[in-house]
Amino acid sequence: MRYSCKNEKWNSGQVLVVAALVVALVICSTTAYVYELTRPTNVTHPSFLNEFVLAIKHGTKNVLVSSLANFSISNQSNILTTNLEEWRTIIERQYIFGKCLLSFSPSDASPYVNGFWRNWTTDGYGVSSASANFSLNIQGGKLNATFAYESVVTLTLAVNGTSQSLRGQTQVNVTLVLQNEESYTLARNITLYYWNGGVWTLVDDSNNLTVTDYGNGTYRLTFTTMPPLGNVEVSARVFDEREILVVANVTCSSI
Amino acid sequence: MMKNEKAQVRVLEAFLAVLLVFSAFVVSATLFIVPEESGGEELDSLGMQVLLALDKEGLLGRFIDEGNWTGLRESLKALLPPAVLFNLTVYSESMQKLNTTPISNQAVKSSQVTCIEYVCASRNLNFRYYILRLQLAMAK
Repeated sequence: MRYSCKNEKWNSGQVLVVAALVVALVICSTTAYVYELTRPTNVTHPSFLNEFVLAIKHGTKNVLVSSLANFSISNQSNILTTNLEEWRTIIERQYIFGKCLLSFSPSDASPYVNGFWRNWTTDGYGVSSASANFSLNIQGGKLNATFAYESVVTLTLAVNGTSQSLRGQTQVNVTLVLQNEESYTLARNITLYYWNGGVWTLVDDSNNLTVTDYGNGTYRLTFTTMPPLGNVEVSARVFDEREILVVANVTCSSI
Repeated sequence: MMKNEKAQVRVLEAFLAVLLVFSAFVVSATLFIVPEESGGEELDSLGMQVLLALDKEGLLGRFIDEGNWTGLRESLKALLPPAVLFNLTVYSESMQKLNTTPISNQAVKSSQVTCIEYVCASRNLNFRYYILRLQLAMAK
């Protein structure tokens, strides 16, 4: 009996230590649980997703620019599909937010054919354009988002002019206005030809060519022809800063 | 003598119990030391915005097409805040490093470096694309 009492007293100390251990474990596990609950999960930053999508849209537009620049000089009508296929392959390798799926269809609605529309007229207006529709699907974790968008790249040229006889030669005044899909744009290179005796003749310094750049996509070109001509047919070939070519012909009537 | 020994054991047990509870608090406190906010997301976002701004009009692709690494570095310097360190590496489609000179303002040696990858399509007549890796860190 005495032994038992002594044993109980001895055990009470051990119980104290065990109880303290239990309390310590409870504190630790509670803290760990609260920590886990409050820890920020690996959630995708929504604004960063917007930037990612915007980057793909910019890239898409660059592909259209590259393809249109190529088409405008080479007439290779499948170039847009080929380039977009390659672009899709690259994009589908991006796993920043999850699996990326990009589908596209070059515009075939009139006046577009295979995503291109080129209309270089003889009445003073020319247009080179590329258009395609896209659908970007991003699947990853809780994210499943689809973005549908259209990308259009256009360059238009409006040409008008007059001609007048001066001192045994003809002076031709031509005004060019260049616009892209957003606003007026600048030309990288302008080449002018005039119809002379059945051939297109390059206008150069020998024609006293002067160019006035108004800085807003409007250019005024003046040149003279020898021998004097009446109405002068002019062809303008203009490359914009993106190397897209647009051509427009016009007859500069004599005044 | 016997009672004295018992008392000492009790004190030791009590001390052990207190130590256990106290160590639980210490362990919990260390668990709650959250890594310092690195601002990584903000840097990621900033880096993307800068690359987007350069890519919008095709300038980024043109710099790379022309191998104009100085122009690219100066553009990044102009667009990023002075306190942000950057190091850009440009890779070709086959992951060959293209930039022959470093495109950076200072060596990025911070412990908190964020890295973003950007695919840049060039407006070149012959379609090309590049993979850009931009490392960013805050200067200390």
